[in-house]
Amino acid sequence: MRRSVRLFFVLILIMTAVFPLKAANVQTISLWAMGVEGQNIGKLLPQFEAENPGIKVKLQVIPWSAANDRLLTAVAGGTVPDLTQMGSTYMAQFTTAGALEDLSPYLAKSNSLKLDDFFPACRDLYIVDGKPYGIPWYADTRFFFYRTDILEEVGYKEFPDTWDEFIDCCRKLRARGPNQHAVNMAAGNWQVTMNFIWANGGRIFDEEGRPAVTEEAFVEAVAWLVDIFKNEYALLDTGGSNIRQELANGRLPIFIGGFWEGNLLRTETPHLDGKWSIALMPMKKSRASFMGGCGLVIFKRARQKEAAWKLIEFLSRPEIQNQWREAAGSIPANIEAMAMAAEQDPLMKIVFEQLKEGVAPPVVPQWPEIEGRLNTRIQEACYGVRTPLEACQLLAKDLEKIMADY
Amino acid sequence: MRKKYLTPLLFLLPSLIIIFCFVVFPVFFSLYISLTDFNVRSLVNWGNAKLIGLANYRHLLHDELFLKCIVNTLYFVVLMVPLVLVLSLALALLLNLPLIKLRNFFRMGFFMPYISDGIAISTVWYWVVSKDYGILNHILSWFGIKGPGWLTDVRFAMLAIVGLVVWRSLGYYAMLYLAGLQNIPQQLYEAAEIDGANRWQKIWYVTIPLLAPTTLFISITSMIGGFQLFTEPLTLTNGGGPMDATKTIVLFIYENGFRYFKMGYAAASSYILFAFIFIVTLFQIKLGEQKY
Repeated sequence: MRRSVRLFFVLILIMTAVFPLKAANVQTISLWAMGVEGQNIGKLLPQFEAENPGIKVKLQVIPWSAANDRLLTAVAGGTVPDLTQMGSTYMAQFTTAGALEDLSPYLAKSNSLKLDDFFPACRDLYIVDGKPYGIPWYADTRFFFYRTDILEEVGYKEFPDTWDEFIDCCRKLRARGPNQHAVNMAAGNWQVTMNFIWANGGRIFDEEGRPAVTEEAFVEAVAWLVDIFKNEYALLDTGGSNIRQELANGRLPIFIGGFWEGNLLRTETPHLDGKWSIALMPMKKSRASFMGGCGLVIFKRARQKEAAWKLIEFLSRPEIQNQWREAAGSIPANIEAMAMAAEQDPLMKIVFEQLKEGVAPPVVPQWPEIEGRLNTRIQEACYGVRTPLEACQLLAKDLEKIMADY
Repeated sequence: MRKKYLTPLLFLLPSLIIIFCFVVFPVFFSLYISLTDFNVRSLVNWGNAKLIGLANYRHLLHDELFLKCIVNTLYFVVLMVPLVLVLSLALALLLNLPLIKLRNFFRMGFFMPYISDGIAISTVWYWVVSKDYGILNHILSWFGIKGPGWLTDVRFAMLAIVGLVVWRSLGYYAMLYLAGLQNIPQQLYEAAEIDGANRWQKIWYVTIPLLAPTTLFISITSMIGGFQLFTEPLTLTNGGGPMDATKTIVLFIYENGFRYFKMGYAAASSYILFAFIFIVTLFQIKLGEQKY
């Protein structure tokens, strides 16, 4: 008898552990965030939870290197979070899969959030086939970061404004000594190399969606990049240091990076304060720069869609967007937040100019695979394994095959 | 009679269920997937995948990148396995010498990389082989040699990865050899001594032949491990760079499966990898049987 009483208590204990009593009216939404955003989003969440007593947010931080696979496997396995940050270049893959919720009904009901509040170029990244599948969270584009003091020494008080001036500046920087170079850029990173190809009028696909990488503007820009490496203005191997360290020691006093690098420079190399600045891409046919960033999306299979939408509304508010810029160093996507930021940060003016020239990569579900081939082929040209034309022809063949596979 | 089987079967049931769910079923399911065009369109609605027969396999044989991955993987295995065998045997012989003080300390030291996390070890190795700030090139510079960019030069990138894998697994395989050495009866060495054999002759004619089963085991396991090379190039050369020089079959499968979500294609390539490992292992076992 006593034994069965004891058994009964043990059972109750197990039951309470397995099925915790659900507090009435408290919803928990799960949120996935990546990289720097994941590290900093926690600073904003208490305010959201205070404003919405019925909602708790459970945050999971995912490293960028694993972001794409984690999201894909979550969709395949049906274990999606309610809300996630989504890189703009992933959008096509996930909308093709049919994994994302069309947000137009939510937008129609909302009285605080309108798509017109965002930069058009930024907003359009999350519109696929005319439907908004994501709300822009922050914008991202590439800039030149440079050492103002070192460029001034070689005669450039301002950052070079055209491609010719840029090459001249590189030559002078290289002439400082045998171990001195000019610009830190990775040959195998399309977010760097494509900027110059776009600026020269090159494109990946033509109007009919056929590969256009053998067009003269494309090949010419690749050849121009190859020369930068051949003349050792840029290095194929910087030897295991990071770009900010190289900026600090002056070996590579220019680099191409996203706006968040500014925040990292302020914390990692405070002794450089006042000696660096950002600049627009130098002019060729345009000042094109990769336009990306992240949006917030709700999965079709999410359980707490209404609550997730409330968090999207919260994160899109101008003052929150501006706070977010201070916390994570990202560019706000909201126009009003941008105006607030411009008053506080003089660099924002340059950001504003550069954003206008942003070019988004093609929105096709094959993008992750195209990205890989683009990196490899341009790298082959820069290493001198193939001529620029050969590399581009092979790239065209790769692209045809990738597009035919789906 | 029936009852005789029922009881043990019931005891085995838990593990049988697990094996069926997580091994047998996935193996056959992936075989089926490899015959479909399962891609990102089928991600939510699995019904969108169509049966396409052997088309994935046909495409693979014409996929230059896949063929390159096969060549890279074979190159890696051919370099790595003999190096592991020779070095771990040499290490085991050294660690077995009675005159070495701190023997256990050394044994532990060589074993450490093996039990450390793969990513952590890759990061440490990155500091060793990086071009301008690495220890290896620093040491080379004492002899007036300007070291290459180990991870960014197409000719050396795979060698850097071979180095990492050999360093990492050396301790483990040396332990296996040590265990093998302990099993060799002392009388054989005494008999050899009476016959006038010197130290090298004893190693060559007594130790090495008697270690043959261990050698066979190590060559098979290290080869299978070699075919599955993945973490090292993923972390060290950013997923197979420079210019796909360190891209291996498993990296290819991972990219196609989990980044491009071409599951059908990825499944087909993993079956080709399976065939490779199967044939080579069979060959090795046959060779082993014949000789010993």
